[in-house]
Amino acid sequence: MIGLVFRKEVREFLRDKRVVSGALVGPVVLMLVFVFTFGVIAQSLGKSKAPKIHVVAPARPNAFLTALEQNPEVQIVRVENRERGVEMVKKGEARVLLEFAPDFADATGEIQAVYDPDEALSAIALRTFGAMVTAANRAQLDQTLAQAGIAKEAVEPIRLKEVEVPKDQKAMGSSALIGLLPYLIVIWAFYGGFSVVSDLVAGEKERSTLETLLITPVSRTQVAMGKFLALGCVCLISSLSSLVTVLIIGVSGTSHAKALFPEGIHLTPLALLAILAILIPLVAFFAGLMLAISAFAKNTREAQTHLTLLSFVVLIPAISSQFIGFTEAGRAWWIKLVPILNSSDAIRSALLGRLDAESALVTIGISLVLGAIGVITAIKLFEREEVLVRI
Amino acid sequence: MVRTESISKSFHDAKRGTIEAVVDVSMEARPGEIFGLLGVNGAGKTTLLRILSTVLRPSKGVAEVAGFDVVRDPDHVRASIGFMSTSTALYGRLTAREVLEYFGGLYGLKGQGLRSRVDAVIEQLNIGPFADGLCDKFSTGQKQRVSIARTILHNPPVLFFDEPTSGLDVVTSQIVMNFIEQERRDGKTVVFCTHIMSEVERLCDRVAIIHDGRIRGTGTPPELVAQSGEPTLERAFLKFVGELQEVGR
Repeated sequence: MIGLVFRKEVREFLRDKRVVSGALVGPVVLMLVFVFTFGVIAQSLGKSKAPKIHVVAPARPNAFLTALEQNPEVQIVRVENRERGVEMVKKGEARVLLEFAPDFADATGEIQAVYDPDEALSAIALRTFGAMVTAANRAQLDQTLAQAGIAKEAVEPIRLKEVEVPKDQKAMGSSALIGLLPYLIVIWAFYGGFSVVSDLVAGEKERSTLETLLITPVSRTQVAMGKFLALGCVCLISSLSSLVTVLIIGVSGTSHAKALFPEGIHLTPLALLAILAILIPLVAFFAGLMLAISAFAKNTREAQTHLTLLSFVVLIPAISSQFIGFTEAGRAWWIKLVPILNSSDAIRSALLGRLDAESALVTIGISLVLGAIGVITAIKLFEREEVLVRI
Repeated sequence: MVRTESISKSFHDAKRGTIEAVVDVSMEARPGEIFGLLGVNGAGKTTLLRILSTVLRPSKGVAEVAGFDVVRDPDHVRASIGFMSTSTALYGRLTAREVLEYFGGLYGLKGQGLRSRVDAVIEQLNIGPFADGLCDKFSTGQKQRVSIARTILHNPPVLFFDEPTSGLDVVTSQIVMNFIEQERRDGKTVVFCTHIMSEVERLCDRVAIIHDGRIRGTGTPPELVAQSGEPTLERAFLKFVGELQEVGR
């Protein structure tokens, strides 16, 4: 009987444009938009031209400025005076303004760099120029030391060499989507069902079809379970469609995909299984909770009001998960105990190829307990005649 | 057979307190009989039908349908009844055939037996021309025919009708009433709720007048007229429910 109710609900879902657009097409289109937008940004960053650096024309020429003008990593633009240049920095028309001291000769002397600390591009241009100054100083120093017959180690006893940590397996670590994808996977697990659940029980009350169903030999628990499973399927498919879209784009080899996944996508079957194992209890939690609300509400409007409030409860930990993984708080033990946030964090870890068994089990366990509470609550509500029949 | 003995049902409402929807109702409907429940809106007819169809549990009293107790043996009761109301309660995104197959499955029909039975009721009610169309697209008359088909799909011995012609056009109303008469001829026990006197006079063998959750009078339509001392069933009804002076002579 549960299978019969399940199949009927799924058949209705597939013919409901709201389900198709909200739970299936929506996540795919949204992900395509994200990938396209991120891809364009990543490509443009890769192809970005050398930053423009404005210079107050010095009273007399110097060798350092001549070298700068020949350096392809920057574009030097001359301005007539300091006031004009500062005004341009204020307005964002110039990123950095350089002014050579009057006594600056060849490659020696002071250079003032005027920049806007509130503008990221201004700060980046300053760092680029700062690196050039350091390199020029270093070259001059090396030359002076060589002429004096002094070893480099005499002035630089400690040297720093950066070495990347070797990884056991490649994943999606360098992708710009890594912060966003777990959030989208979790959010669609909720919003996929959100589009249909108010109709699932509250809508049936309104149309009196629920009463017709209740007078058949099928038990109320069977009705609730059939509806729960159908809703859970929609939530899961909706959620997985985000991930599958990303995977398909990732292996497509398009220029956007290459810009977005410079190292490619290297998700192991184990990581995919782990994501599925985290998602299924989470989906059960969402489906049970939403079904209980739909059963409790007198009509679809009331159900939608309650569900909208619930969506904020889901959104807050899901949004937090985007950022918390990049902070020290992301390593705190209590993250594993916060529903939704823990699932999102565990999915992020699985995508990065660093999910540990303890975190996964705690996350799955908490979602399972909450899912069971949701389902039991929904079933209990199905047993209450004052909830099911508008009296 | 449908039998109730001192059945009552009360609800608790936070604003209105305890509401006595059905009070001490005793009645009996026999096979091959149409038993009418006549009452105004809110009289308790639908609540009584909901108790008899196991949707609601009685607060006290005993009710039996087709020999099964509604509280102790609800599964058998549900398998023995067909229920039809004003609301056709069809699934708009399913075809007529799919609705019938779904409910047939819920009533335990399977495989070839289910398909044969669905084909039979489709033919009986002339649903064939639109059987594979979505219910959302049907006219009210077409929906009502599918609703009837669903009611008789499992060939139940007891049928409940809750104001089945309300809001229907004359032609569709006639189809529904002809169908109810046919079921009586087939020996089914029919409980028919209505507030339309002409339907009672045409269909009902016996009638219980229900008001404020209580039975105010029982008998055949001529017996009720005679008991009231009024010339018509309509006036008899008004007298039984204490509204005769209210509406004026």
